[in-house]
Amino acid sequence: MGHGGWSPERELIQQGWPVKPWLKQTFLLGWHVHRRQVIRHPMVSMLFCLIIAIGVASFFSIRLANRAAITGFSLFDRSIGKKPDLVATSPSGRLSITDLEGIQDLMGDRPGVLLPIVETTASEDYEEEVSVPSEQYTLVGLEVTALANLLYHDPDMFSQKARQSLSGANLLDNEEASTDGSILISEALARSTGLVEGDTLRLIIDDQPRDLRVVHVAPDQVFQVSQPASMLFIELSSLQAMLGISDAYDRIELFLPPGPLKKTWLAEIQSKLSAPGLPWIIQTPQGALAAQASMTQAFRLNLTILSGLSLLVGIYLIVQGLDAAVTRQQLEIATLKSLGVTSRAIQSIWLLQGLIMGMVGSILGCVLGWLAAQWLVVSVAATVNALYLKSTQDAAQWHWGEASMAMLLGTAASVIAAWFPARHAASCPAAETFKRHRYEGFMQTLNQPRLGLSLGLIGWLACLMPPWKPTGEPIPAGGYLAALLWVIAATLLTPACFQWFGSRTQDLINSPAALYAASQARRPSSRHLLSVAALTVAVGMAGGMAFMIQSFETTMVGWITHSLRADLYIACKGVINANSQNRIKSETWRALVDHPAVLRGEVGQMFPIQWQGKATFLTGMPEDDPTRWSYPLWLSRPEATSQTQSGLNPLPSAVVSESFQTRFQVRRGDTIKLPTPTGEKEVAIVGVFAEYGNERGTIAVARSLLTTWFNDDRAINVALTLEPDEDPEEVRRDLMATHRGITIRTQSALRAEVLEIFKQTFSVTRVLQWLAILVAVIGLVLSLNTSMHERRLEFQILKHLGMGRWRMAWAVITESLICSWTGFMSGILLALALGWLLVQVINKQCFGWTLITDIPWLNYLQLGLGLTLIASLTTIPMGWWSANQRMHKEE
Amino acid sequence: MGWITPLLLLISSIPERTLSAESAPAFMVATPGKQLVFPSDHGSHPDFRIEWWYITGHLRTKQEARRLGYQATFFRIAQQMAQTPSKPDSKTSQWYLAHMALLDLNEKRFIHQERLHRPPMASAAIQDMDLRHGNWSLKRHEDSVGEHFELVGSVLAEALFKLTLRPTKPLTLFGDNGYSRKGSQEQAASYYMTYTRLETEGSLQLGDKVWQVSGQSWMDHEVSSSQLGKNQVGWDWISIRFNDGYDVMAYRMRTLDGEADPASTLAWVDPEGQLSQQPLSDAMWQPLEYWKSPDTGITYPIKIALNLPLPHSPERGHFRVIPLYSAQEMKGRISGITYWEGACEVLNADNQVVGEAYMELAGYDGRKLTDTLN
Repeated sequence: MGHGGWSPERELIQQGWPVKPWLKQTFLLGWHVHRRQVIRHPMVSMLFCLIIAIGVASFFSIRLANRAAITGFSLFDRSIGKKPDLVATSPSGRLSITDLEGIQDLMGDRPGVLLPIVETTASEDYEEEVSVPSEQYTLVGLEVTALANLLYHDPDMFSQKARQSLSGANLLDNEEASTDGSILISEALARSTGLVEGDTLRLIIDDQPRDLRVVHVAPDQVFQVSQPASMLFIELSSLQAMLGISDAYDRIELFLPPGPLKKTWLAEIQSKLSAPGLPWIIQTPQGALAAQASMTQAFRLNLTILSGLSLLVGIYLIVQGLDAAVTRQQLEIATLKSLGVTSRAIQSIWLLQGLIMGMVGSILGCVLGWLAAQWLVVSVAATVNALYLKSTQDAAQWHWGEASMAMLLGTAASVIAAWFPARHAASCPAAETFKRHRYEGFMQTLNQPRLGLSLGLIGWLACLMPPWKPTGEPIPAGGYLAALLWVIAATLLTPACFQWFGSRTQDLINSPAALYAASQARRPSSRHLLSVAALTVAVGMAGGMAFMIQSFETTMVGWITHSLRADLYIACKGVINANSQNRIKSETWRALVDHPAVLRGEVGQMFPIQWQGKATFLTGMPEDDPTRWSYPLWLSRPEATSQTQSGLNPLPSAVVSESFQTRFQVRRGDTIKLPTPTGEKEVAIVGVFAEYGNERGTIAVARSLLTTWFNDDRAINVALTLEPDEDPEEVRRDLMATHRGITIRTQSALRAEVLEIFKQTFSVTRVLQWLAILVAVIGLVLSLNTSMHERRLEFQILKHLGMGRWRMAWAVITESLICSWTGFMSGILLALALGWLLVQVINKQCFGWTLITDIPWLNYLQLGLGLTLIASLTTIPMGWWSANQRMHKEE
Repeated sequence: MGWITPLLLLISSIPERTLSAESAPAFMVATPGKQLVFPSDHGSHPDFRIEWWYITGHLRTKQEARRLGYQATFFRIAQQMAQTPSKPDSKTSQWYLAHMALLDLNEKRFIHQERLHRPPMASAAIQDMDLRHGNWSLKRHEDSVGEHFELVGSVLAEALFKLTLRPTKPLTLFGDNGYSRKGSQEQAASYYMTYTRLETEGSLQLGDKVWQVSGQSWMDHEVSSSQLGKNQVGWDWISIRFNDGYDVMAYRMRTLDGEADPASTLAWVDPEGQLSQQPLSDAMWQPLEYWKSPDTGITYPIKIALNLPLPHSPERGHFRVIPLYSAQEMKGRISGITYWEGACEVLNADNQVVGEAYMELAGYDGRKLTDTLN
């Protein structure tokens, strides 16, 4: 750069920066050093940025997808656009008209609009053989008259068109129609389906096809927030009548009018309504949302931790990359030092490089992450829908908070990664660096197997920690800590493993190529060690997840095989996930069970309830006698004596799932009180069964009791065992022809469907695993490439000593294989440890499930072969290139 | 009486076909000769299409010389239901609409609120006056002193009033022993019962301040199924409590040609509660000054001259009704109906304040009322 040209120093001074001398020096030096670095090795710099970008993208995309998935929980929040001040729900899942009156009475002379709401799911009617439902609708039943009162709370809360439809004349005129299935749909739905006012939309509600008349197409922002297209509004009484639950509500929302007294009155009302002993739960919308979000907390936390995996592997690779740069630029460093540049400035230069790479990579990562999130959100929302609660698949919105966090994390990772090479660059004496002897790199200082073993031991002790419950839902903090310690331990043990592996190779193979390759392992460079450590960590964590998934799958398949023994399984049409609320009416299931081809029918009932403030399920068993209840796997079977006991003790019997037992710390012999719409019912726990359908836990009692307690004999599903000579397919067709609103699956079809849901659950996990391995493999290739480049002189000497091209290429391949196999073998050991941790500790503490341990040996073998293939194929050109180096090209 | 909203709602709630004479018999209609029985006739009459309980009053705070006006109206509206698959036994459904308004004259502030609910959030007992609409309520009680009414009302989270109202005059049954004709059509009639004077005491919370208040109130209860004529575009109604103990209730039904319908009525109630009634002519009710609402653009004749024949003298009384505050317009966000209903004072020819009043002015938006609502 000439005197008359641009210089950063001049620029800074001209801008009036209060530049300190050392900072100026650092900035200028950094500028020159790194500019040269980027110009001479553009691909390497790009790769560093890409590694950071992949890590940041992985983290950012998962965070955005998680955020988008859980925003869908706040459907109530979005249903009318205005947040209620309080939300009342019942532990039994049903609020009654008495509760509504009770709440009004307790409010006394304090004003407020009470908006009772019933929600259910519905799907479009479809031909079973032709198509499957693509959309599950949410029908929100609310009293439009009560809603109209909110016009006085916030006149602008409704759009002009909505205000017109809520005005007195329309409200009253439409009453006749509204009690017979008229609906209000969103403009988004109207656009996608072509529905207009006056059209009919046929939906399956419970097991009945219903023709709902579109009376109003609301603007997208009818309530000043966009409603999901799948949300339909219907008059409360109409929906109640369709569901056969007159005078029952899912929740009651309370809106206080605006004014200076609102805050005081709200506090008073909340206090009165939250008094102990009242049959409802009062929450603020934020509290209700948090409660729903907490159900998926473990799932989302696991995904977030997994998403950090690539970034963690990336840190190893950045360290390795920068370390390589330090090596390459030893001459420059030494020259600078001789010219009087301080060690502090040298260290700052490398930290600055880490910072810049981190920032560039993070920005790129955020962009990539946002793009990836658009795909991921579908998958995450689908999993959340299948396992937890109704959510919407909203597009993942850009979120500056999350982006800042991802960028901070990416930049910090890069700076941390740059710290060690920077320190070593700074500490190299000028004279020594001039010698250009083999630079050992800082990784040698991490060659501490004893410390590694100690951390491994501490990790094992951390496994014994009980779960942490900050919000009531368990978080296996000890398990996560153990995982982290074991990953660090593996890093510390890797150098020793690598050296051992090199020695063994030298002992076993006596060819010159192998000897040369083994010598690299016995005296490994920092780059070798870091890339192997990165591979170890990637293989370890991905292998650990594969271990967990395989164990889960084996357990699930076994459980399903035992569970699905009937010939036909019946549910309402459109039931596509655990959240579906459609039920089979009693007249329908009775007709099914009474079909002449049916030998035995089992009617399943299930009610979501809240017990001890947490969501769980209450199900019904066909028989009254608990000893005749059938579960695929009993952990503690009801004993025959329990019948006698129950004779002595009038309490009804109940069995609980393992998840329930773990979650609520109950055991056989305990008595518990269950919330029901007809009051609290005390039951005695007489057994514990294994169940993998949900982690919220299940309590099962005799169905006859459940029907009485809930005054609801609708079934969630029906399982039919046919007479020996009956053809399931024929009976299926016959039943479906008679009952339009149900869907019937054969045993094999249902089994396939359940397994499909299972696969979908882990789809994101699998992507994240592969991403980590991809990053590690890129790192390995990069590392070997750098190493070859640095050892050009060595290769040329070997060539002059008579080593042929093929032999030299073979030496490079062998070196690559030693690296990848060391990383793979160490990684598999780490995978086994992490897999055990996931299955036996983290999974157990999170979900309370006992899983059958099943190691995915075949997957590991495939991974090993894959790595061997990639390592070989990518290093052959390098070996060939090395062999072709000519002496005069050496600098 | 507070006619406007209930009548408008009555029209608005009934689809065109049910306005016909053929469908009317689905509800009971007011008939002459019925003997009203109390306290049960203070209660609800669900077989009639519409009824309302209407209270207005002038209040003063005891601690400060603060002047206030209030309105509390509870409506019950029955909607004839078609029998539908979801409700095979449905015949009628009851709707409850209510208004609360408060005028704080010192602050020059008029606030109001409207509510619409169905049971159980609102109710009206049949046996006696016991009305609930969320936290708003009106209930009749009897104690050793006699009967009284407890009213709880609020406007948003800005004002809360709890008042006890004790009648100081006996119940007045307008028309023919409570049978009050409103038009030429046979069914255009109502049962109309009123307490013209109620000693009122209680508390009023405005913001973080609570005052003890006292004053006088007026209470109507009217039951009907059909009373609005097709040629009527609106009406003016007033209740006056004169300082000498006399009370006036007058309404002027305005027809398409701008004149008073023959059914328009003037009623005097003397200090002992004796009722005298006669038709109200245009000459008796003359607009003096108009006010245009800045919010709706509607112009109302809010100052009027009343030239009334006096019950105790052959001469006519010349009065001017002056609103305490101009902007007492009720903008019905739910019912969609806008009208003016406000506290006024009554001046005699010598410019002396001789009474206090509440006046209702409906159908001034330039559209035919029935067209607007249908």
